[in-house]
Formats: sequence, structure tokens, C-alpha cells
Amino acid sequence: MIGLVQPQSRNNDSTGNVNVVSSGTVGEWTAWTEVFASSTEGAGLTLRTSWFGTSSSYNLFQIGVGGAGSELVLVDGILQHYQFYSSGRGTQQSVSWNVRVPGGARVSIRRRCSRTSEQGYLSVSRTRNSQPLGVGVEAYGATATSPFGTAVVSGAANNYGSLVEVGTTGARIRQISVSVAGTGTSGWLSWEVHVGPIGGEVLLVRAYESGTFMGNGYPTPLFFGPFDVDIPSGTRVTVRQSCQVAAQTLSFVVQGTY
Amino acid sequence: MLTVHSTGTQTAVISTEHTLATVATSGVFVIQLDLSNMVLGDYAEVVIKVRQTSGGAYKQQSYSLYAHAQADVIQQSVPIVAPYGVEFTLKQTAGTGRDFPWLVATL
Repeated sequence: MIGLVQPQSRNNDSTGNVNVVSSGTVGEWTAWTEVFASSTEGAGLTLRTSWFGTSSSYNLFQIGVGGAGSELVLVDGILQHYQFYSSGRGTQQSVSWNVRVPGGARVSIRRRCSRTSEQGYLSVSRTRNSQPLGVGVEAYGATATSPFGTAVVSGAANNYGSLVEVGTTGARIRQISVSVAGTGTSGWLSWEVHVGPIGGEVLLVRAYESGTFMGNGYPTPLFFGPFDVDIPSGTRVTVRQSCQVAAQTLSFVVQGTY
Repeated sequence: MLTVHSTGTQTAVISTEHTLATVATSGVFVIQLDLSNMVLGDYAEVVIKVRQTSGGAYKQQSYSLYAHAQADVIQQSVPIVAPYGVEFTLKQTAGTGRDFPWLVATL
């Protein structure tokens, strides 16, 4: 805890693009794909997703540390909705977590996908010489089947639907972020993350009319956060959403850094 | 004047909260922990509890979570102002129980 601010902090040790081809079975994990053979000490991780082919897909990633065959999940529940547009253009994302990467550890990544044998170019980088906020990232609402998040339905037009429980914190949480995936009728979206027991939920994060389905049925932003929080272990996490068009379904995964 | 209040080595039992030191006297204290023995897959919580009244309960003042092999193997608390006492605990929550040398100093 002592350390001084390190002026040489940097984020320049990205891997080149790694093509993590999805499994031959929809929704099945790929093998772990190594991105760093032996990491230097890191204080943060960034995942950049690039070209995922000429079809939209839902993807779920885990980043792990440890030797081949004994990987431990460091970042869980990375939901990524790859949105393919015409003319060979697809959504590229960059998401970060302020989490410690232990020195000397092999870092790897694996993927579930809604499409079989689909290419997926990505890269990972580490933040160096700063102070990590946590030692891992857990997920609430991730599922094994496409689109890999928990379904949340909006209410009547411009009204929130019911809060949907996505999970319970397993540790004291220092940061929180939200991923969304799905399609729907074009219209403004709002969604919220709440914490607390049934009937005692309090608002934690809100994206108010910041997510629209755009003209092609895709929501945005796809990743929101991370936000600094302090949530006790054992806290119930819920999500609700509202849309200009009634009864639209989106899938959500919430992540918590501990 | 800086003095060593107490020192020891705690062998952790997974999911058991071990009290490293309980100080019932007034003072300003710092704990140092040696995390050299931690490896990938080990998780350990360090909690500091203070009393705000004489004879009162020790209540949590801070919580820190450590995981895997450490780069900065000596971890040290900020000075803890404790007019009525302070308690330091350690709980390893995952991995194989390790030895944790520790030291509490009085400022």
C-alpha cells in the first residue's frame, strides 16, 4: 500500500492480435488460448476485440491465469455482442478492468460463441506500475447459452420492466461494470443496476437514454463502466430496463471487481 | 519511539480467521505482513479492527484482499490510531494454508 505514484505507468505491452476461433459447438468453451507466456506484474487488463467475421455474434470470454490445464479465472463474464454492419464493418470494443495480474503467471483467454468455428481477433494488454484496485473480477448473470447474459424485459413503452436478479456478490466489490447484448425494435433505451434485498433495492448505476437500438436493432453502448463502488459480499444484484418500444428483451451481465 | 509490540508466524487454516495480535493499550500501531509464501491460487484477507471505547467491541476499520504470488511481498498498514486497542486478523480463503510471518510495531 505504500508506493509512490509511478510516473512511468504505461499500457504498452499489448499482444498482437490473437485469433481465438470459436468452438465447433455453439456455446461451448474453446480451449484456453495463451496471450502471455509469463506475465510481468500488472495492475490492470484491457481486452480489445477486433474482427469477428461477417456475421453478428454473441460472445462470452474469460481471462485466466495459471499453467496449461490449471487456469484460474481472473476476469469472468466478459459479454461481447459483435455487431456486423454492411461493407465489412463490425463493432470493435475495448474494455478494461483495474485488477492485479500476478507476475510470472501465464495469462490466457477462452471464448463461448453463438456461432461455430467463427474467427475472433483480439488482443490483451496490461497496465504497468500503477496500483490495482482488486485481485479478480466476478460476474453476475452470465449464462452458458447464447446470448450468454440474463434476459431482462422492458415494460410498457418508456417504462421500466421488473427488476431481474442477476446474482449475488461473492466478495467485497470495488468496481462494477455492465455489458448488454441483443436486438430489438429501434428506440431509446435506459437501464439500471440496483443492489439490495427484495423490496429494498437501491439504484447503483443508470444509463439513461444512452443506449439506443440505433437503426438496425442493435443496442449501444455495449459496455458501461467500470464505476468505483463499495458493495459488501452477499449483496443481491438486479437489473431493469426501459425502452421507447414496449417489451423489448436484452441480455445483461454485470461484473464486479473484488 | 518505534518499538516492536509483538511478532510471530501464523500458519493459515483455510477459511479460519486467525487473530494475529490483540492490543488493548492506547497507541499508534502498524502491522507488517510477509506474504512471500503465497502462490497462484492463494487468497488471503487481512482485517484491522479497532475499539472506540474502553472495553468496547473491536470493529472493522479496514479490509484488504491479497491473491496469488506477491510482487511486494512485505505489506504494511497505515498507522492505526487506537486509543482503546486494535486487533489484526488474517484469513486465508483459498489455496493451500501458508505461513505468514507478521510484526506489529508501536510508533
